[in-house]
Amino acid sequence: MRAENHGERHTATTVAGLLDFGARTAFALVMAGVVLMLVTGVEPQAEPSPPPALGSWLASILALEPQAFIWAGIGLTAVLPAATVVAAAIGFSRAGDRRAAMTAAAVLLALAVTIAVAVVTR
Amino acid sequence: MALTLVLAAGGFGAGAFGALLGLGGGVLIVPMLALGFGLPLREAVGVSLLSVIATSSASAATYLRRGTANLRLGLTLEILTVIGALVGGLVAFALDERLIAAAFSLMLVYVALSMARQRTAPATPPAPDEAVVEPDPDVTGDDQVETDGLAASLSHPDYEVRNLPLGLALSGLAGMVSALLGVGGGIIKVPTMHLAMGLPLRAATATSNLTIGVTASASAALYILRDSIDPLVAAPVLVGTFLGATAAARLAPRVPVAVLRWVFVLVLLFVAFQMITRAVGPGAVA
Repeated sequence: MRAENHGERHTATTVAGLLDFGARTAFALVMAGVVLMLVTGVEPQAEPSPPPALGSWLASILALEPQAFIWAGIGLTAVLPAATVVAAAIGFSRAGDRRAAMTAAAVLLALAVTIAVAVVTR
Repeated sequence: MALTLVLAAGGFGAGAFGALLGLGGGVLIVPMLALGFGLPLREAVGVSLLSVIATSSASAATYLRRGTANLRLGLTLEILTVIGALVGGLVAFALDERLIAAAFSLMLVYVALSMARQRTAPATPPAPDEAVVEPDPDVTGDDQVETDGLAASLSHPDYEVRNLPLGLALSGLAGMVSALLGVGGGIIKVPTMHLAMGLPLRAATATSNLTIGVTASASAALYILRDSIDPLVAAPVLVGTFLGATAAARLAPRVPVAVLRWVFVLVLLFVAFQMITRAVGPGAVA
């Protein structure tokens, strides 16, 4: 067995903080969308719309369109795991733990390759 | 409105269940959406993937703060899981799905029996603020403990990691199976970490919770890019999932290990049954 070092604990706390913040923000956005769905009478069987273009996202949010909030929450949910791996890589690197930092970087590389291959071969 | 609330309730159950067992809850959400609500399977899987990430994100922070989830080990295994998912995705169309499903179901039955045969620790729940990892007496065999090199660096103050090469190989298999059959990698990773690598069951489920979100995120990104996610169905499910996973992560230390173990065994058998049905059923895809 080994003792858990300070850098590792600090990195885990940082990653936990990011997960907490990201999950709560994503929850708030999706929840706002659901409340707007209920208020405006939009049912889950309604015709869904694709994500709004980045340029018109703010306008859709200001117009209180449920799907704009929901897509923002979905987007944040989808990128949060990769963001936590980035945070882990930075945390381990700052703590001087090169092996763990390289491991996190390898996970990111594998994720990027997977998405790239899947996009190219679809 | 009623449908929105039913979807949220389903998400709550799946999130709580997934966070407790380290599975992500996809085994519940896909059948619920596909069979219960008539959603096309592809859209059901897309929503399920988002739900897995939500479960992971909402519960992993708690597990990390308590020291239950092993970040270093989780990341190490995740490299092979993501690569396995890539390979699985590439060969998915070249293999007979019925054969894979049959082999997978046999493996699940074997794992379920192995977990059921294990001795269980006394079911005394620790106080919520106590140290979190409750060592299992049956996974601390000194004869197989690796104490040097990478395995030692991945160990935790409360347990040692053993059989790292086997754990890495099975993590790669978890990624492949996840991509081939649309099930979460946790169904393989939790037994791998617990039975093969010597982690206590709580540590295995917590570490699995941390990593399943990463595995699911690559696939979820593709579903979003291909417009295969219905936001109006996903939203209530996600709200329920966030709430269920958060509640379950707080409740987890009070759930006895024996209960976790037996629920996990039942889930393994349920998924094995689903896979057998998929292998021999009329809807099986050649």
